[in-house]
Amino acid sequence: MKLFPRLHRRNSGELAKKRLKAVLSADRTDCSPEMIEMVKEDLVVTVSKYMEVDQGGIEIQIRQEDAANGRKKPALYANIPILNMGNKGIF
Amino acid sequence: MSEVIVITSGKGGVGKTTTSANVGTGLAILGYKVVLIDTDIGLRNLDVVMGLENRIVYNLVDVVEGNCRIKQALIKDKRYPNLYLLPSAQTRDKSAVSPGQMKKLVSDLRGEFDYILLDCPAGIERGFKNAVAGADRAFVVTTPEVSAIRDADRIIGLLEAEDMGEIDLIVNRVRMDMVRRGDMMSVGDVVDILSVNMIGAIPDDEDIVIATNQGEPLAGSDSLSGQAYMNICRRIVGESVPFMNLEGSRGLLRRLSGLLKRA
Repeated sequence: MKLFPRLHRRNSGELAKKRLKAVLSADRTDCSPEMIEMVKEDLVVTVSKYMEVDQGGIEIQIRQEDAANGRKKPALYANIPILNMGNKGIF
Repeated sequence: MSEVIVITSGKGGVGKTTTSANVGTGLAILGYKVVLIDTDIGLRNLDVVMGLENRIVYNLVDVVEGNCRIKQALIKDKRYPNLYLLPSAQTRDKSAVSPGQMKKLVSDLRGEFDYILLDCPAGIERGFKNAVAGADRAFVVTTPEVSAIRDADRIIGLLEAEDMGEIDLIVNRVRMDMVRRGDMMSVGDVVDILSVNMIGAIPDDEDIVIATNQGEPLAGSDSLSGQAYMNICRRIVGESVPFMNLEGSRGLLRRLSGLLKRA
């Protein structure tokens, strides 16, 4: 039994925002959330070779950037928080 | 100079018709000559929201097909003599009118009216294309919900592709209590996500339901939503009106109860 059921659904507004950002980035670029997730996993594997990253805090987005000809073009943005800079002794 | 504004949303049920009725009424209160056009052929609604459903003789399709003159189809509002409605046809479908015919209709009305407001049907098909065809600017109505915002984003993309002159957002049905406790996206969040200019936000208000029951739009009344609609109208005519605070200030009691809940 949940003693404070309200606590478990607090801040659903934040959750809505997060889900919406993911779905809009997929809609706008015609790129599925699954693919974004795969890119994210590959990035984690690659970057983890060199430093320890916070896997839960990673944000991957495809944004529309202004291109030189006045049109928009998609660009991949990755925000990967680092927990520990030192390499893990691989090199 | 007249201005033609289409009120659209993509998703149904977010308040396009209510917004059309209230913005039209508000502009009439400010002294402008306004015509509201219901472009939702087959699902006529603006007439009941305005309380004019018993006065319909001719409709939009009759005008386009030449069964009557425009003036014969225009219904004068009950309360404001400078406000008119061109009702939609209930027994026809969207294909009865083409974007070209809508463009012509709107340009014929330009000489007579200061503002021509087009209430757009839900969806992105023929009805949307008809409504958008003759417009100078668009209001995209959304609520602070994932599904409505997603559709609004799609509509904004389509309007940009159509080279719509100006696109403004209206965030409807904001529940201040829910925003305060973090269970609803704030107006700022919505604007941020859609990155488009906002012309106004409307609080969720029981008075809207009552006004619709009565068939009398509440723009100009003392209610919070009535004031919010009036603010939008003032911004349309070029006044600079500060935004209403819909985030809701956190009172001492509320902050205390918030702390207790978190603990």
